[in-house]
Amino acid sequence: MTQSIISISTVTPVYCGESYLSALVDKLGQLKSAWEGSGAPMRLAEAIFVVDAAIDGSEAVLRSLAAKHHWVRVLTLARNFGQHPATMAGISYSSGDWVVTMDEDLQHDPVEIPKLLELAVSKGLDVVYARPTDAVHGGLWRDFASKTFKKVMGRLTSNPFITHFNSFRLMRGVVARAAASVSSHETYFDVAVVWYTNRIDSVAFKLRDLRHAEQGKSSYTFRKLISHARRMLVTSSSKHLRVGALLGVGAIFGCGLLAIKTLVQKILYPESVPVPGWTSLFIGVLLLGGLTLMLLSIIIEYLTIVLLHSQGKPTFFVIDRSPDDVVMSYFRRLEQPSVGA
Amino acid sequence: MWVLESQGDVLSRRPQVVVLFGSGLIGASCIKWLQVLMPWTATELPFAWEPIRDDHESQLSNHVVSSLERLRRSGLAPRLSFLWCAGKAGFGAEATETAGELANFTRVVDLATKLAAATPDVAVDFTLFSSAGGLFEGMRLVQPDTEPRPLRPYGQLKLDQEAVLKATDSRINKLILRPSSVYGPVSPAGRMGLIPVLIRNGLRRAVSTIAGNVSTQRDYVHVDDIGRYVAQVMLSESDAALRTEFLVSGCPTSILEIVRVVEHILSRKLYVNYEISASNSRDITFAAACRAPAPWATEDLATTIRQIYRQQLASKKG
Repeated sequence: MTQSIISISTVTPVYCGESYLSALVDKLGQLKSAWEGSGAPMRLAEAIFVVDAAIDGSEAVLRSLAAKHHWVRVLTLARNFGQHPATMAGISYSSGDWVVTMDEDLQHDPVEIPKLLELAVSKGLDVVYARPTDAVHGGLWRDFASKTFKKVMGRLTSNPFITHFNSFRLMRGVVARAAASVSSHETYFDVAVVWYTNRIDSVAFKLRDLRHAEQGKSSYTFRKLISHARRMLVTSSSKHLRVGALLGVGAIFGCGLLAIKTLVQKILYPESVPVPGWTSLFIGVLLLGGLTLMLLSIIIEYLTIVLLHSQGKPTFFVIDRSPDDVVMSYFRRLEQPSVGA
Repeated sequence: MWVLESQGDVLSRRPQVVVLFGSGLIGASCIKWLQVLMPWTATELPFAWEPIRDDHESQLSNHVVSSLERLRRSGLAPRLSFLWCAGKAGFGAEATETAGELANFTRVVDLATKLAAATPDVAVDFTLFSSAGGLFEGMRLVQPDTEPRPLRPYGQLKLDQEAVLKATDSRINKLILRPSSVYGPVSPAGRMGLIPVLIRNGLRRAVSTIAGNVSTQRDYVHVDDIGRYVAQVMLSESDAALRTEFLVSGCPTSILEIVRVVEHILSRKLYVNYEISASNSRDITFAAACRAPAPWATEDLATTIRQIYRQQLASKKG
């Protein structure tokens, strides 16, 4: 019988990580050697670095690392597309059974990858996010704002997984590639992942934004936060469009009731409407307004269908989780106490 | 023709030499995946096909023997694996073409037999890429025990190759792989399957001629799924003297379905000309029970089509 080898790809978007990349590749190399040396069924098959028009010497550093390590792969984007598109590009080019996405600045330690994988295979999950145990950015205010933002967005979009979202994530390869393949530049990648699976969880780690803590710099600005919120809302669901449609239907009833009230008022108390023609004009405006809103709500409903279709939201998706058993038995073997002589 | 040499790792345990014939769509993917899973030293040797030249054969033989000798120094008896994914003859090849290809294959099998006899301490295995489509043309929901009934010289060639391999030295472990309709990236040169042709022509707004009709059903598998599986099989030593496996998805897909998916991804109508004749519009589908055992896994069709499309867009050749 052929023994399954579970391949793992890592994807790292690179923008200004010159000073961190060698250390990151070293750590990935240590993980790779540890798995190969311990008889693990997992292999770190490839570490994909996506150079997103880096503003420092990252690309040269990566080229020299790729020359040294056959498993380091460098993709260069034509211009700066942003972290999410760069991550999606890397995922599209990956071929591992599992894909791990991580930042360039050592915020995400490769040593934690086995923990993500263990949780995934033990609970039959498709996506596991890293959940920071304490202040990632070294500032209480920033971390509070980040958490609050996720909670608010979770409520607005009715997506319970938004609180888990983190750029350090382990995903089943087929899910990651499928989500990346349907994502356009306006799609929020993690929301697209939820289209394919609800088996999502997180595991707590100590994550630290070294760049922010040491240099006070962070690539995340308030403008980016707003952009994230907008894309999350647009991608998450068409619920907010449906709210508009419901308002339209409500307005029709409101218009109808008001028209009846005005008509009854004119019949029973004609003196209360002194201007001739006002009642018929008002009823006409209300009916036309109601009709317009009703037609608008129908258009919105159709727009929702077209939007979901064009976004590529799948009708169904088939997944095979059976290879997880091999990894699970490896982790179980590790947990068992070794028998001494 | 490539010779790959590895010192071995934990899973394969033994040092290994892989002799790979054919570096087309499937061969290139197998090499890629072997290199993804472990480091190899790869050497390309000259190997003319029409017919195989004696000096090329002896050069290959000497290279393999010296590689095995070098690997023996690690203290473990090495493995020697032959992988045949060569083939110039296409689905519509004539009998004269397929006869030459069968002669070449027989000669390579003889070479494997000779090397197995000359190196008794070495475990030798031979993997042959046959063709599920060629063997079961016109059959629907083929089961694992369905007897092949080729309808054209190409299918007969594959059946004959299987027979040649089965009849070889019992010291050689044999694995016969039967892939269904294989698709991969758009290639500027060489044969392409339906899917890359539709993507390329769709981008160029050119007409695609399809041999079949809208309802013709086939079973599509992505070349990377094959490469990944073969690499894993080659790295795992098997005691089975003979195995035959179907590399199929087990999910019939009509040509219309493929055209619709590509149209949706490209966001434009495709210009398609259906060339319908009795011989090329036959269904070829396989039951899910045919699927090879784990670690065989197939990636989602729509995902891989989107990947091919994006890679084609990103390339300058689009």
